[in-house]
Order: sequence, then structure tokens, then C-alpha cells
Amino acid sequence: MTTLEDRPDVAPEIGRDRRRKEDQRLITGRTRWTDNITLPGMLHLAMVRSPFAHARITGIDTSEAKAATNVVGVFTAADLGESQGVLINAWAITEDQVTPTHLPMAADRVSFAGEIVAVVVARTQAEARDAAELVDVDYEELPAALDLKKAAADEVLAHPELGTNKSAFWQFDSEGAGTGGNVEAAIEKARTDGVVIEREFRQQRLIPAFMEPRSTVVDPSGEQITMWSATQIPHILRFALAATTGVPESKIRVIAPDVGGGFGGKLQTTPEEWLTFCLANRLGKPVKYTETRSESLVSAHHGRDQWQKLTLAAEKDGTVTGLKVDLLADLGSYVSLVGGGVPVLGAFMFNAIYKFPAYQFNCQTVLTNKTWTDAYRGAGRPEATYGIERIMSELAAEIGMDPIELREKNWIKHEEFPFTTVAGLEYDTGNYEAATAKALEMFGYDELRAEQKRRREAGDTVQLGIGISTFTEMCGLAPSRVLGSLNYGAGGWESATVRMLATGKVEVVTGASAHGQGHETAFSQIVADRLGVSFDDVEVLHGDTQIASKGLDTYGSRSLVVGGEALVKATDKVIEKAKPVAAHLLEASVEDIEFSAGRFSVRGTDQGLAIGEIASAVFTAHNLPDGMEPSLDSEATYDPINFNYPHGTHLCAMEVDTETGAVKMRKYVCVDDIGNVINPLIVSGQVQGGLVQGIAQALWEEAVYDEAGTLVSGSFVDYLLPTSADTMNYEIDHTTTPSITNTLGTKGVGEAGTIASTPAVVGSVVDAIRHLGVNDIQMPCTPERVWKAIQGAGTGGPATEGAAMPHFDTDEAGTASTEGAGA
Amino acid sequence: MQLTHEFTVPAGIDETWRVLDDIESVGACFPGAAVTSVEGDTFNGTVKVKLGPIAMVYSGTGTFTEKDQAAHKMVIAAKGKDKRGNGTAGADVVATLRESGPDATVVNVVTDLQITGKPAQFGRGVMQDVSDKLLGKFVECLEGKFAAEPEAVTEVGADASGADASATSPAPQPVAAADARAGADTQERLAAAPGPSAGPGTGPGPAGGSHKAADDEALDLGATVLPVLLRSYGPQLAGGLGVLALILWIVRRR
Repeated sequence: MTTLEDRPDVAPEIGRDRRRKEDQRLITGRTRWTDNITLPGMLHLAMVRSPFAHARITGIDTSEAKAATNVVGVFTAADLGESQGVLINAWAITEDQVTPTHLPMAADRVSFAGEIVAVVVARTQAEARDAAELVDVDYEELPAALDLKKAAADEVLAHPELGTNKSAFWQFDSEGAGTGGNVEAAIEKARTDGVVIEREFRQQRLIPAFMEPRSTVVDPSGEQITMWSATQIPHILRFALAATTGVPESKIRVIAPDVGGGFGGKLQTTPEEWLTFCLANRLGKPVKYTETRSESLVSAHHGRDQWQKLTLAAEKDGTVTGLKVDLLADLGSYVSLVGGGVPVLGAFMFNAIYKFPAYQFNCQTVLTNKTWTDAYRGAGRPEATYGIERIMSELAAEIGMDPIELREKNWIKHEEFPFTTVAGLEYDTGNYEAATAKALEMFGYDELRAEQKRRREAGDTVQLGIGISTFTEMCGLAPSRVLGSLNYGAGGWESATVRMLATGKVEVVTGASAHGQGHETAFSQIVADRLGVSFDDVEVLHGDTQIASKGLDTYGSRSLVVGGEALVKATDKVIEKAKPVAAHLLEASVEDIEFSAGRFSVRGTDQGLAIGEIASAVFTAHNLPDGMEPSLDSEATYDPINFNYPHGTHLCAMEVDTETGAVKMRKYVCVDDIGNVINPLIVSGQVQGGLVQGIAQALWEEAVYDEAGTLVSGSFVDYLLPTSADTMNYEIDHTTTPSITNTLGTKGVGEAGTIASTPAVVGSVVDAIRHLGVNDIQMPCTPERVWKAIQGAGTGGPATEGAAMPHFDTDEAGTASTEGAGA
Repeated sequence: MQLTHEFTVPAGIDETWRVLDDIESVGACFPGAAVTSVEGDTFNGTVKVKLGPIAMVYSGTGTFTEKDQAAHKMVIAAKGKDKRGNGTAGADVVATLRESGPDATVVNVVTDLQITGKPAQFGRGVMQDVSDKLLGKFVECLEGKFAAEPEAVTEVGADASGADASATSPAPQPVAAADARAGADTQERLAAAPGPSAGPGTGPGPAGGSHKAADDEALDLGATVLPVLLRSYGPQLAGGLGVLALILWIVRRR
């Protein structure tokens, strides 16, 4: 950044492809991650975890571990009692939600393989881990509830004392809500004189797989207990610690230093954090816990894992008349922080960009003996987008209409905005025609359709398929009132403070807690433009509850559209405060003071003062208007008035080898409308990364459990995380309809790629072999599944059994993944 | 997961039955295994296995749940727990004998293996190969017990549900490769092993023999698994770093 010249008054910063400020310290490894923190006398933790999915703990012998070298102590739930606190569910989606008590460390029964049963404290990490192996735990195995559908039928209980696995049933009905008609009537009518499409799609279980494993350090030696944690949510973490441990919130300081990715996986309050906090206080010494990658994969929360039953009603000409959604969502062993709420976030998105007159969403959340699930990039919206985009293409195929034409027939026209959807949301702006037209042109849609036709007729063994996703999402979480109506435990506002320093530098404090997004750069660009100061003169502070005391952190594509708006409001206050000072020093009346490009001037004269000069005048306070408070510093807390609705059109061309089932991506084009862009480089990074994550769900990733409830995709050898070698050059572009619900006209972009890409990719594979009688392939579309589907085994068989991926057959997905995206 | 193996021993069916029936000496033949005590049809023992980086010492109990000499069928149920909390292993073994000549008996072993914990999390994909290798040596040792020239041992790489099947199919190649590599020291050990472990029921004998076997284990399993891992994962491991790590494991054990 230092290499860049600063001439803020020339080119505006907003829209400029600034290199990220934070990257210098990040990519040179200069920064300190949580695990780099070393304090005097610091002790280390190692967890003893259950190898069983469901078992009663009949005895724990810690004597051998206690006797091991440099072991300070070994603790079980019995030893810690209530001092270990409890983990909360912040979003009970119904009043009568069935929620098992979630202790950080299991007391008498473990309910998933990986649950903590004892914790070892030693002077070094290695000694702690060695000693953990010496803890002898006796279990009495219990039958485990593993399969989602069987669990929903209460065949085996994940928590016997609850009497059921059904946690909560949540419904939205357009007739009941007065936002639309009766869906059953619509379906009945379509059965007689229209078209009814019924499909069941599987959302496989995924693992967020952030780069930096979770790590926590707690130092109890100060007046405040300080916790460093690799988390997305320092403020929520602090609140939850205070609420569940009895320690006053004012005595807790949480710091999220540079955090190496989250994708929702660090939108969590973890057992490990609670145990570190508890033991540091109990022992009066700094304590560190850092998970191993295998621990991370087994015990950090997972995502997705749903069965989606969709019933779509339409007229014979393709006009949609109703949509009914029945979801079965796997919560895993506990109802985690916002676990139950994730599928509900999808409730408002299944209708997507289409004008459904009737809509019903039913969701049953289910407890099982697997790792608990929670937010994963997109959280509820990728699932919804997948369902609706897949079934719209199914309808097109059914009535023999081009899938683009069908969508156009049903989507909201650009002149119809603002548009209130059948789910009750008001979409402020959008232009689906523009984004789609641009995407079709970049893609060469007609040519590819023609080629597809040729290859069909020629009976080519390698067939071409085209997948389409005209998605929208709701992001910028969230208007507090809406969250309240959904019984969510907190608000959705964000806070920002702008401090004018004596030397003319600007400090910006934000409650949004970045973990790789580039807030420091984007926020600096915003402030540089608003205050007319240099990009490099702006410092962005965040992630420490003692510096940024107020905030609701980073998730749900909210930082820019909510946190950025708070920032705009704070800078406006600074300018308003500065005007009287300028007027006083320039001996003019406030009404005559104009502010532009960092300069306060008297209307119609060449007199003026730079904002920096005002700042130092206020600092010295020698000559201020009578009674003026000597400060320009301003704070703003912004509660969004509405969600924010990015949209876009994603097109994928896939080549499918009908003899081997291997898939090879030929072309991927996306045109996203994310409103005004602050930094095109950061946006491009978000879109590219998002695409890869969404494509990975379609083609490679799946968390697989064996019949005993062991996660067999418990390493990166079995859990196929894509690398750059698996990707190709995705052609991304934008159309722009600024959002009218925030000053900057921005929309969220953090999740767009992940939400949009999955249905486009699976759709392209299905489209390639539809003529062979295939209308679905269960994700991930491994060559094995594609091949089986071609052979007539329906969706390519059930979820992967046994091994996560067939290991040794070079035709199998394990190795074919490199071909998958065609590089 | 289900593992099926079949092999031929150079002995009459009754003699074969007698030998197999003597769990203590049979146990000593199983690489890494040691039978510590026998009471009637129940026996206690330990099995030491290394699966890549994970070393397990299972200690547990086994029982002959069925012994039908007329039908030449024996069923063993065994369950063990790893000393270091890495999980448990259970096995239901059905062994059936079939005469294939005056001095040759075909032994068919179907093992239903239940593994929990780390080995299940990481070792799943290599289990068939490892078990094939283990059985190969088990058979060699068994043959040592019949004072006859070892015949060619036929192993049938087995069915297994779902992915296990695909995991199995290419197994022969790596196993063969491994035999080539491991062959030498295997022979040495066999030369030494029968000595102490020959006589049934000689207290420390089997233990001693089996421990020796156990020590060689890592090495042999490494040799079995390495080529497999190389072939399947090699391409995916950028710069072959993972492969390097694998080689290090092997080297460290030498």
C-alpha cells in the first residue's frame, strides 16, 4: 500500500482496485494468529474425545494421565461442574423447540463421535496430547441415530431423555401470512389442468474447512479476563460467556486477531472456548488450546445436510402457480448457536426471483448423533437456491421450453421493483433481464445449445450440458425487527466510530469483525471519499471488544451493507460537527460553509480549511465557538431497514463422458448484480472463492459417516477440498442496479458465488445426460454417481457409503476431481 | 466392513482343524497378536497394529461362539479396546474348512470388522490391503506349523459393500509389490518365528514370537500401504509433500 501515491482529491477511492492493506502482514506471515500468542507461564490443553457416536460414559480413569510428565491436571465434567458453563442456542425457531442441554464437556453420555469427555492441562502442547492418550474412558455403546430420515421417524433416539429426535417444526404459509394464495389449491388445480413437478433433492453434509484451525488463548491475570479466539464473532462470544458463566460482561475482553477464514464455521461459540475460559480461571494461569486439523473436521460444526421435497405447480404454458417445500434438516447432536435458524433463512428464498401466487414452506429440524450443524457460507440460501433453480429447469424440461425462457416468463420484471414477494419480503431493486442478457452473450448460449444438439444427434460419447442459475439472495443480516419476529436472540444493527486525530489521521472503529474479507481496505476507501482524506491516512480498528466495544460481527454478507452504512453515518456526523468550527475560524456563518473533497469553504469565496486543519484546531481547542465540545469524534449505530438483494445469472457448460461418468467443466460465466462496487479486486476475490466453494459442493465435497457414526471423511485426503489445480478461469462480470436501502447503493457479495453456482453445475451435469433418462444426480456428482445414474440407478445411489471416496480406483472421484473443473 | 479371505494349507482337514482349534498357537501366528490367557472357549489377548501414523494396541476378549467339527466350521467373536483411546475394534470371524485333496485344506475366513475411532477415521481406505497383507503372513506362519513345504497360497481379495469393493479391486498389485519389498525380512522372521511359537501353550513363547512379529509390523504395513497411497493420493498432493511425509513415517520405523 505504501507504494501507492495518495491523491484523494483526484480519483475517487470508491470503485478503485486498491490492493488490500492487510495483505502485506498476512502474506508475509508477519501477523500473529491466535496460536502464535505465547504468554509467561502459559499452559496447554488437549481434549479427550469420544470415538463413539452415542455411548454412556461408565468410567474415566485419569490417574495415568495425571502422572505423566509436566501434566498439571486432568479434568472431567464431574470435576468442573457448573463452572464449565453451557453452550447456548441463540435462535429457538419455535417456542416449544426441543433442545438438549449442551455442556462443553459431556457428563455421562456422549452424543457424537468427537465430543469432549476429558481435558488435559500440561506445560507443553505435545505433553498434553500425549497424556490425553493415557486417559482411560469406559463406554457402554448405545444405538446411534445417524440417518436423517430414520432419525426423523424416531427409530433410534439421539437423546433418549428427550423422547424424540424432532427438535422443531417451522412453517410459512402465504395464505396464512396474507402474502399469497392457498398452495394446496394451486397444486390441485395444476394436477387437473396444469403441470405438477415433484422432486426430492439431497443437500449433503459439508465441512466449512477454514484455513486456520480454531485456537483460543485465555489470560486471567489482568482485571479483565482476556480471551483471544480465532472467531468471527468476538462480541457475541463475549456476551455468551458472560451470560453462561456468571462472569460480568465488563470483566471479559475478547480479541479476535487476524483470523484465517471462517465461512460460517467460526460463527460459533465452542466447547473448546468455554473449557479454555473455565480452566484459565480455575488455574489462574494463561491457557491455550489449538485444535488439530482432524479435530477440526470432526468437532467444528458442519453445514447443509437437508432433504428437500419440492412440489411445483404450473400452468401448461409454464406460468408457475404454486410452490410447496418440505424440508428435513439435520441439526446433528445439539442445537448450536444459530443451528435451528439456518434452514429458516432459506424459507424466504425458495420463491427466489419468481412470481409465485402461492407458497408454503415447512421445515422439520432433527437431532442425530453426528457433529452439530450450523451456518456455512450462504446458510439456508444456497439450499433454497439449489432447490428452486433445479426444479425450475425440471419444469422447463417437462414442458419442453428453454429454461431461460421459462425463467423470464416467471421472474419479476425490472419495472416491477420494489416488489413484495409471496414470502413477504420487499425486493428493493434488481434487473434480472440485464444480468441474464449479458451472461447469455458472454457465454455464447445459442452456439453452445447448437453444439449440444449436434452432439446429441451424433451420439457423441462425451455429451454437453448447460446449467442455469438465475439466483437472488437476502443478505445484510439483518433488520432487528425481522430478527425479533423470528425469535432470534439478538439484533442486526452494526456500529462504527470515526476519530479525528490531531495529526490529521483518521481512526475508524467498526463492530464488524473481519476474518479475511478486506474490511480495512474497503472501509478506508469509503472514509477517504467521505472525509476527503488520503486512503493511507485511514486506520481501521476492529475485533477487540475493548477497542470496538459495540458490534455484531461478520456473517451473512452484512459488513459492508450494514457496517458500511454505520460508517457513512458516523462520517456525516464528523462533518456536521466540523462545520461550526470551520465557520468560526473562517468568520463566516455556518449556512455558508460547504464541504467537498476534504475542504470546508465559504460559499462564493476561495477561503477554506482542510478537515485536517479543523481537526488540529479542535485538538488544541484554543479557538473554538463558545460552548462547543472540543471533539469531532462521532459514533453511529445503524439498524438496516431491509435486507439486501443481490442477484445474478450463472451459466455452466459441462462435458460428461457417458462411458466413465467423468465430468469436465468447459465454461463458467456469471454476471452478478451486487450494486455499487467499493473495490473490484475484493469483489472478484469474493466471487471467485465463492464459486469454487459452491462448485465443490456440486462435484467433490461430502462429509461421510460410516455405519458406526465415525466421520470417515475426517482428513483432507478423504474430504475433497478443491485446490487451484481443480479450478478453471471463471468469467465473471457485473451489471449494476444500486440498492436504495443504503447510502452507498451496495449489496452483499460474500456469499453470492456459493449460493448461485451449485445448481448451475449440477444442472449442467443433469442436462448433459437428461436424454438418457436422468433427471437428478445426488451431490457430489462424482464420476461413480454420474456413471450409475447413466446405467439407470436413478440418482447415482444413496449417500456415499463406507469410505468417504473410493480410494484406489483411478476412474473414481477421488482422483477425477482434478478433471472435474477442467482447469 | 466385511473382509473375505480364502487360503489353502498343506494338511488334512482334521489336522488343520486341530491346529486352528488351538487358539493360543494360532493367535501367535497372527502378526502383532498375543494370546495372554485361555479359559475354555474364551481367550484374552492383545493385537498390535499400525495403520499409517496411527499405532493401536487393542486388548480384548474373544470367544468361540460356535465350533462344529462335523461341519468344519468355527465362529469367533472378538472385541478389543485400544490402550490409547483410539477406539475399539470388533470382529465376527467365520472360518470354514473344505477338503481339497488328501493333504490340502481350503480355509475360508469371513470377517465382519467393526472399527471405531481414529483408525476408522483415517485408515478405512487401506484396511482391506492391510488385512490381506496380515492374512498373507498369518498363512505363511500357519504353514510353518505343518512341517511341509509351503505351497502357493491363494488369496481371494474380497467383496465388501459399497466403496470397499472399489477399494479392493486394485489391491493385488500393491500387495504383490509389497511382498517383493517385504519378502526378504518376512522370510527371515518366519525362519525365526516358528521356533518359539511352535509348541502350543508354551507360556511366554507365543508372546515373544508375536512381539517380534509386531515389531516388523510397521515396516510391512508401511510397505503394503505406501505404493497404494502413492498411486491414489500422489497426484493430489501438491509437490508430493504428503508423500514425503509418508516416506518419513516408514523411515522413522526402520
